[in-house]
Amino acid sequence: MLKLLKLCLHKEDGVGVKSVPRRTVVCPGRFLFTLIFVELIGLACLSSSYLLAQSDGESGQVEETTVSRALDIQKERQAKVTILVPPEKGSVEKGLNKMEQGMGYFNAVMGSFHGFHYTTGGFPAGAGWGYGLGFTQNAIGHRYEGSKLANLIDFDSAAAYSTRDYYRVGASVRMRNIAGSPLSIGVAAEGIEFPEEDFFGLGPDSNESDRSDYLLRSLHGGADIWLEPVKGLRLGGGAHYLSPSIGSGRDPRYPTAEKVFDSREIPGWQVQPDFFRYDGYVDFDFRDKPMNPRSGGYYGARFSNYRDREFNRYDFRQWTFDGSQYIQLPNQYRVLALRANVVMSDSDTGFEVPFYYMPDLGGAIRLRGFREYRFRDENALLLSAEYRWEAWWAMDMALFVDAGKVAHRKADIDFSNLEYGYGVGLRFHSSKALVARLDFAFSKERFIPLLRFEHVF
Amino acid sequence: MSSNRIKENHTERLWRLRMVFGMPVLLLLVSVQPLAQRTENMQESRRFYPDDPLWEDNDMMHVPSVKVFELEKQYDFLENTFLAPDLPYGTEALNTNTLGEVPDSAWWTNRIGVREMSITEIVRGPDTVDGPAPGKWTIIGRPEGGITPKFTIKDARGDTYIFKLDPPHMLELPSSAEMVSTKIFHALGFNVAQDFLVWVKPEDLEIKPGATWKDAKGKRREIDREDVDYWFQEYVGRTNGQVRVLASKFIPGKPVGEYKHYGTRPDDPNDVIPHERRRELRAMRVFAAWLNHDDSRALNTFDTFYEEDGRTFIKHFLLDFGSNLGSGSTNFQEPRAGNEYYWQPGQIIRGIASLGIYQRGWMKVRYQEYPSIGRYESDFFDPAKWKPEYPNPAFDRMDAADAFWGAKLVSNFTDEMIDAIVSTARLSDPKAEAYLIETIKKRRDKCVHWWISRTNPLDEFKIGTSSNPGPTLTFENAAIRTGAASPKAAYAVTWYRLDNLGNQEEAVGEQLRLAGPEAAIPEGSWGPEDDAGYRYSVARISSFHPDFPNWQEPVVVSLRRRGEKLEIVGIERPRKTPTYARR
Repeated sequence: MLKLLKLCLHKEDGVGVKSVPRRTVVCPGRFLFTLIFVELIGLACLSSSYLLAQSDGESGQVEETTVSRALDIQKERQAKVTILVPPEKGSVEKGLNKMEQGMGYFNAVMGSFHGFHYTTGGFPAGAGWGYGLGFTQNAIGHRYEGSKLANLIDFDSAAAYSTRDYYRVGASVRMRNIAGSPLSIGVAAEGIEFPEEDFFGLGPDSNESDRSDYLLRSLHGGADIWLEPVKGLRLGGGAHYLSPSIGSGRDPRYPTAEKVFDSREIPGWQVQPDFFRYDGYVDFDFRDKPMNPRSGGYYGARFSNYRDREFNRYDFRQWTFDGSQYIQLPNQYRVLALRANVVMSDSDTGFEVPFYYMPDLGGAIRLRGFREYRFRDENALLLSAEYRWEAWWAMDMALFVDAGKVAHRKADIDFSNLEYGYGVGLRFHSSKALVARLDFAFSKERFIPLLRFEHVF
Repeated sequence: MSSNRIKENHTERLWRLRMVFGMPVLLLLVSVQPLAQRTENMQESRRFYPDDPLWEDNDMMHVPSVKVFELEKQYDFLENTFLAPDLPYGTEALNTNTLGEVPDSAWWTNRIGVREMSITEIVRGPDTVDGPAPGKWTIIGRPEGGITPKFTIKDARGDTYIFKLDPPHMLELPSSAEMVSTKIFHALGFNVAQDFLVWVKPEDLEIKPGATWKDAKGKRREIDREDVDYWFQEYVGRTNGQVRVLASKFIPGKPVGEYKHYGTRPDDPNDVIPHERRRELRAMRVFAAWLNHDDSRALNTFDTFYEEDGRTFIKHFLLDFGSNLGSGSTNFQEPRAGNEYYWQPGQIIRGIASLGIYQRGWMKVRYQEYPSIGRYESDFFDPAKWKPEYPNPAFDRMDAADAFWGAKLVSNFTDEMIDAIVSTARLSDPKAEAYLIETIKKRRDKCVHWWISRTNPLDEFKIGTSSNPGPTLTFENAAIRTGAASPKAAYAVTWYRLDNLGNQEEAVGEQLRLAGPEAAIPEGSWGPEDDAGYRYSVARISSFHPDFPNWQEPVVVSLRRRGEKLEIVGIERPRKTPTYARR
């Protein structure tokens, strides 16, 4: 076409007119034919282009062409058909899935209190990491543990060991709601060996530098009976046989106690009789959530009478009073928690309280900021105050101060010369219970960070 | 005249001939290819199609199979809290029609606000039956997971239901929250399960031989009568032997998992619109705030592989409203719910550093704690600040147009409708019922007033005739109508001719102040006829209100005509993201 066009144009300049051969004189006719031919070609191109553009739709009237938004969307869907892939979880999600499965097994091993389960042994602080096997069956013979059922028998047993050679073996059986009444009974037996128990000497003036250790071994068994006549109130009593023995401590970091102290001056060091112990107690628990309280209180009193079975030398009595109160300020998100705990021991003339049954202060629960068992004597006073506030739905903060003292004489238990510990803590919790507690505790002696999985009070 | 002159004259004639015929042909030839291309380009650039506005999105084409894909509960929280999908903000919804409405689809069915709904229909909700068929109800199992006590039964008709028991210390609470929310979400347009309140005598339940469950001690064994008695023991004494139960009918089809609030499902060819760009999922922020559906996360959605008319495809549902309103499923709703995310570092740091002196506003709220209502209130509630348990990508991308659409739907729930919906919860305490009704209404009003006024709120556009010669465009102000604004608004319009194929507008005159919500359509405002024979006109209408300067952004209303037939084909509302707390 272009060539034809160029040829026509070439003839327009007149140059070729004179030189055009005779056939060119008849060019106008051919030119017209060419023109018409070209125009027809052009029209055909235009029409086909237009129709090509309409290729999605049906032919027919222009108003009902295949121009359609719905069809455009369907094309997109049809295009996706060619690139379908099954959904897959990403690596993080897969990892989390595996972790959840692992937690399922972990929970089954750790926390499922039905059948065999992992146990840490419940050792005191400083025992290292505990590991052991437990076996628990609640409501034996019944499928359910609901409180409305009568004669529910629970069995619990554990054997645990720790990385610092502590061990504990024990078993207990309880029968709850006897004949549908609020009465329950229980029997238990346990054997322990704690080879690295700290000892700093007796009295409020003991020195931290006198840290030593001793071995405590004990077998004990007994029975308790208790009554819960109304919700929160419990009255009970029990009788137990105890067979303690003391030995040289095995902590390689510290000397054994008899090398630091004159064992003759430590009551109960040289000989350890077997004991009968008779208890009576009453407590009233009206905390809103006992495992993470924000209101209410707990008040309890216990009396224990220890009878030396062998040497007629270590008979003594012990009273324990424990009270805690939780005051909202002014709502549940800020709480002032207060606690007072007094333990008083009493023996007749000529009798002594063996040191291993004396109350102590220091550690993660009783006078934070001091080492475990830092202060020990026949009588002890502990006061705690915590200001707790909710910083996050899963975490409370706490500012705390603990104060306490030990004393040989009951008359010396007063508010003078108290030892103080203070600090700040984080408490991670669910809606019902504390999960973990991290306290940063300070005292005149040292700074101690404490990570525990039970509440302080 | 010499022969040369004759030849010259002949030459001149030929030149003129070529000019007359040749140049156009030349032009035609040169332009034919680009014209074809221009025709194709016109289609891509056209603003309206002949089938606009679409009222049905055909996303139910046959899909042979899909994979069962269940989301990970903990991962969903972690992903949306710490690993937020990298998606842009400020994008518009993609699944709306040209009127800004959401077409019917496997996600949504237009009901209230789009068509008339009677109170009877709203109260009936999604129910296609009247509950479990009278006669034998047979226990067939007890599902694991979840936190509310439940078991599954088959009725005399063979239909399967999940029976959910209210916690004994909170009778009526989660079941009433489910009943009320189900009716409302259904009326709005979502797919939901059929829920019924039934009263059960435990001794009337039969047990299918071989039905098993994992008991409280973790052992899987067959269900027997002692188990059933134990499940109901906390209730029987209080309720004259008949226990209230929420019966939720199994959704037909094969469960294939849940849907996320972003992206698309890669094995579903019908799913081509990213979920964070679906208007109904974005605007669900409005609905969730109203009903305190703080648990509005991916895990409470439900995809079922559904069969209909020989086709199989995925249909999308909302599930589990037991922690709506004042209910926390097994306890009262936490005061934090709806006010703060699970993880909100700024608030946590303030909480720590202030030693508790800084108290969030929700910590000071005093609730009227009816046992069957829980914690649900309207005084402290602020729809702008409401948030779910953790961030939701669709909620976070809701813009003013999405919010307006949602608020307008909410505004269609009249007081009478709410009275009737709450009555389906069969609350035994009339004071509790009255409180719930009042609170739902007040929260409705707050949501509507806030969200409907975040953008130019003109709606109800119609073509009418009036004293003006020729057709007019009339409209209403939704904010004034719903009481969100005082009746002090003025309006102005600018008309444009629209070349639909080229998507080009040309202004027709200056902006005109209107005497009221009505504008005469100028004859000269019609653009050229497109390939479907339509001509288009565009009105950009601004509103002027002393309290809402943002209303000056115009609503763009497109009209089209063919012959004497005029219709509104497009409504585009300003989308500027409203002010609300995002993360």
